[in-house]
Amino acid sequence: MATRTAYETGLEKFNRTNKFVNILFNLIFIILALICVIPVVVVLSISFSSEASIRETGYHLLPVALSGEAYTYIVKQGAMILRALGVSALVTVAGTVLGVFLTTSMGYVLSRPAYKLKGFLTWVVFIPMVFNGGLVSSYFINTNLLGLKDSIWSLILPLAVSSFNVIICKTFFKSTIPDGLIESAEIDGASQLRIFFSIILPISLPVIATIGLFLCFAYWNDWFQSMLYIDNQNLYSLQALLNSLMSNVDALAKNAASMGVSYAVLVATMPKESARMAVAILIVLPVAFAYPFFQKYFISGLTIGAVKG
Amino acid sequence: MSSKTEQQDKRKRLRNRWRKQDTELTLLALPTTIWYILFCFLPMFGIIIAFKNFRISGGFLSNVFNSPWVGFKNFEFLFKSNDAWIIIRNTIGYNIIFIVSGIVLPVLFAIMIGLLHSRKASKVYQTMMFLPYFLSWVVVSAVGWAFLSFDKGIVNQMLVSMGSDPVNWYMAPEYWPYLLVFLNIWKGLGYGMVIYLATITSLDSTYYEAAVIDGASIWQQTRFITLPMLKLVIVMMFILAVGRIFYTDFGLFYQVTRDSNSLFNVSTTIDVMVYKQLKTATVGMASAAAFVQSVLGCATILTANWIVRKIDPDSAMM
Amino acid sequence: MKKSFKFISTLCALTLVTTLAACGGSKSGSATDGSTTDGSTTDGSTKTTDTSKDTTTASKDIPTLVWWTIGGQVPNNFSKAIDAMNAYTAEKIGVKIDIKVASWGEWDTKINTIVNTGEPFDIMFTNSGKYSKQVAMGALADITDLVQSETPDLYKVIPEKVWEGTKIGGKYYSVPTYKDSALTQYWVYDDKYVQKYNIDINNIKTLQDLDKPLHAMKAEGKSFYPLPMTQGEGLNGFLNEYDDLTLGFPPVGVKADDASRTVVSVLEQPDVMANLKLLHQWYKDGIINPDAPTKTENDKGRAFFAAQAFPGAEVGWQINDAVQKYDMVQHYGPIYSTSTIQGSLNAISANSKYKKEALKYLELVNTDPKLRNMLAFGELGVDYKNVDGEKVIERTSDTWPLAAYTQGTFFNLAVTKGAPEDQWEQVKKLNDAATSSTVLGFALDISNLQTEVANCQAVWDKYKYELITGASDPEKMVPKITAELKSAGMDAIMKAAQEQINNYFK
Repeated sequence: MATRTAYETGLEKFNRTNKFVNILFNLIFIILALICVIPVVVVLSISFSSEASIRETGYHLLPVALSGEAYTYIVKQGAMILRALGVSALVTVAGTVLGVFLTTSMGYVLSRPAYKLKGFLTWVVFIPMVFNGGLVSSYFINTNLLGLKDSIWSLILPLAVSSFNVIICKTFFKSTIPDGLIESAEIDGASQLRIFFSIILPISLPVIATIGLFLCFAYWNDWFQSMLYIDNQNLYSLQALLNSLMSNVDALAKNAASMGVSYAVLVATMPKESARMAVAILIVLPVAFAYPFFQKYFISGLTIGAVKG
Repeated sequence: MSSKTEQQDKRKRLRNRWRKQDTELTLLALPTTIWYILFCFLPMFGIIIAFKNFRISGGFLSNVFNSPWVGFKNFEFLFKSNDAWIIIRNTIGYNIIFIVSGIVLPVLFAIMIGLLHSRKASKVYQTMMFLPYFLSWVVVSAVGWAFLSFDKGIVNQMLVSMGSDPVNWYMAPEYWPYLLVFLNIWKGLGYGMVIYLATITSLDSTYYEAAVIDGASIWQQTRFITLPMLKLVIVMMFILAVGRIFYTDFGLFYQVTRDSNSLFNVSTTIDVMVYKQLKTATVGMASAAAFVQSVLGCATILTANWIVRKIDPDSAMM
Repeated sequence: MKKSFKFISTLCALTLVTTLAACGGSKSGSATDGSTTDGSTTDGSTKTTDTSKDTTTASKDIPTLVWWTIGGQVPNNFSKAIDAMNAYTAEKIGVKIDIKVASWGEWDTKINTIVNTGEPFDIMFTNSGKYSKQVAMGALADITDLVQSETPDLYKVIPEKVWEGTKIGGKYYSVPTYKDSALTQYWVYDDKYVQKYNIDINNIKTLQDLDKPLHAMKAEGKSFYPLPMTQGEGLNGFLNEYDDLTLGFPPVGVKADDASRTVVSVLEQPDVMANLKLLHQWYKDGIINPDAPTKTENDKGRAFFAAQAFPGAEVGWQINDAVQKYDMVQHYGPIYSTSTIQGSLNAISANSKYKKEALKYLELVNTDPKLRNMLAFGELGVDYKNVDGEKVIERTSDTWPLAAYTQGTFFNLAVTKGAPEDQWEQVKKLNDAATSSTVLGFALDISNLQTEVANCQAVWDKYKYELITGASDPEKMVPKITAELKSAGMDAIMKAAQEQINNYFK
């Protein structure tokens, strides 16, 4: 552990900001972190409040009267929520792996200055960034041509590549990989595929971690694909489930007039605000655990090692 | 085909010839290219819906091709709005602030967090700063209500306990420009920092070693090494962001503001307006709106890229 | 420049080639899984329920219809419950269904996508917000003749007036749900306050009459709001005296009892203006909650509210709100208008291969109490149990996602235990007593007014919450709103509406 810390900190150990600046920076970050955490605390607090206590005393940072009401709902809907959690996890992992491969390979190809089709492929990546065929025709292609309707692939494939990520990746490769490294490998007779898989990828862990993190978050946060392509609610992801719970209440309220008397009955069956917030907590929690996993790959110094070695 | 003798040839001659590397790189790019064709280019025929009076006559393809052409009729509603000026001002105004704050703050904090003495503390801060990103705007809207609700909100309870009058926040437009900017930064800061953090951590540390030997202070290193090395990424992020200047986050401007009438002047952007207008409209009009945003976005991004290329060709995206 | 042109042209060529390849591929692919290109069968697209597996093999004799409806979260026993229904209907009329549920908040996007992409379906729940648009697009089947020749029972069970409300261009494109189709508006008081403040609820006829009791109730406290509102609802039924011509756009309408059928600018009418002023006064006096224009969910247990209802409806509210007793007083209606009838419709796809079967199924829903109860309440023995044959049931779970009001008539539906047993008869009485809006059966065709409607809608959206909750001063705002609406093209809409009405009732 001690050696690793020394390695990680690298230069800082003999080249640091002074103590006062360090304390100041820490203070700033503590404030920032609090600003980011407090709303989550409020979500947690609502999830533990009883409906009556919110009605009578309003919202609080910490619940006034503790109530497990919301979590009984979660437990009661356990099967549904576990399944949604499973879908989210599967989609996130599979999508991230696939997406990282598709993104980094394209990013690398675009970063090679001498590649003949570079200009052409740049347009292939650029055009979709500004133009798209719209929801209706994408839906048609994905369901009719590709048969993705009601399949887990409809949650994975359409989000695997984003031009934004490809361009970030290309920029990363361009600015962090020394040309000499690839040239020397080419002179050694290594094929481009070999160079990419056994030289570039291993030294690009920070890039992979970044793209992986972006993809992972995008998949975890996505609800729109579920809403559009999944008819069988058993295949809903957690975020989609929450979105559906939240939007149902809203939709009922907005269409009260057209439902006539059924409205009151229907509203009564909707999960309470605390239950909805409990689901929101379920979404945030896994992420708090996932981030450190990616974080450990943001380590400096790997590039030098490879060049020197 | 290619052999070692060819590689020894002069580079100039090589430049125009298809080499083995090109084949290999094409192979490497193939899966992603296929993905782009399937998921991006095939659906693009949908753009023509914007110029049609869309009608159902069977399958989707026959619907699209048999629907009558109507020229630019679907676009009319976009340019007949009474509030066009307010909407364009809001969209571009907020986006300029978002672009600037979305670059300056993450760069600043990424550099700062890298300078912290304790690695552990920096990790904890980063993780915490990520949390807002996972609250969808619907949830943020609920949290916002918990803080700002008139009679139950945390803020008003605090105001009352301090003896001041409660504020009806959702009907007080003067606070919202700041609040919206704040929320946008709050939600995206942790995420935005990642790109810069990853770049900083993967910078070649020999530069810093050399700088230390020359006696450069940590501030000089930041100023003369870190920032210049980040330039490429910063410029790229800038160009990408500029391309989205006609798009706004619907959730932020519609859900978080609870569609409050009082906040119309400070919260209505192109996406919100189009959403409201399209409640009664046709798929053709929706396509028309998206098409206009695309064309404008394309124009701005190409202009930005062109300007960057004039100033510094290496930083340009294309 | 030249370079980029070359790239783009290569790109186009490449796209074309792949399109062709992909099309070819898909054709062979879909042939194997049995779906047809123009098909309205469920085959290829339903990999969801277990029933669909036997569908593909047995579909020749017993077709499975796809029914898109609206509802909540689908529970675990959903497919089991559907299987039970299918077993029953397969035997009875030789039709099975595959019910697909779009949840409340997602229905809008989902249904639009399905209709626009021509995805096969047979029956679809729709309502006034979408119906005329879907008809104009050509998505729904004209069932005028079919319903009378194939399913005379269905045609008979629903009164003429209600059928009238589904007409577009003189044709029926959907089967209306015969329920509380006539609108009856009630004022509901919490009995606790009625007793405490001695409110003579039976002599309160107008909003003006409410002024005194509401002010009296305000004595409860500074943060007690006798008339709590939300942004979406306002004072429920506030503009109901004007028929909105199914436009869903309140500023244009025809007064429901106006024999001359004159299209008016509703907000400028003196009666509406007077009521708006009253609301504004109440808002200022703290009778209406100050956050009404931005509040989305009602609190439970309101001192006073307006609602669309029928005798006996208060029982449900009392349980839900944990209020001892609500007193309901009818103050408007019952009245049929096109919009109230179009609150729930089930239409058949223009591309469906099974139009007759779909109608047969809807007929059974509307005439067979057993199927009706299964659809409305779920799996017998799990979600509900029969208390008195098919007449009274008791719900034993709260997870069944489908809403009774979206499916079929209320008048062969069981009464839930606890509600008055003559509940549906009461509703029927109201329907029978209902007058009709003078423009019943007329639905405005806006296909040539899309731009104007979109822009007027946007203007109305900008002011509606604050206007209907009393937050804005109508004396200042109504002229302003009207001026903006006029510049957005409201005159054109009104003119077209008047012309269409004159033609329709010629």
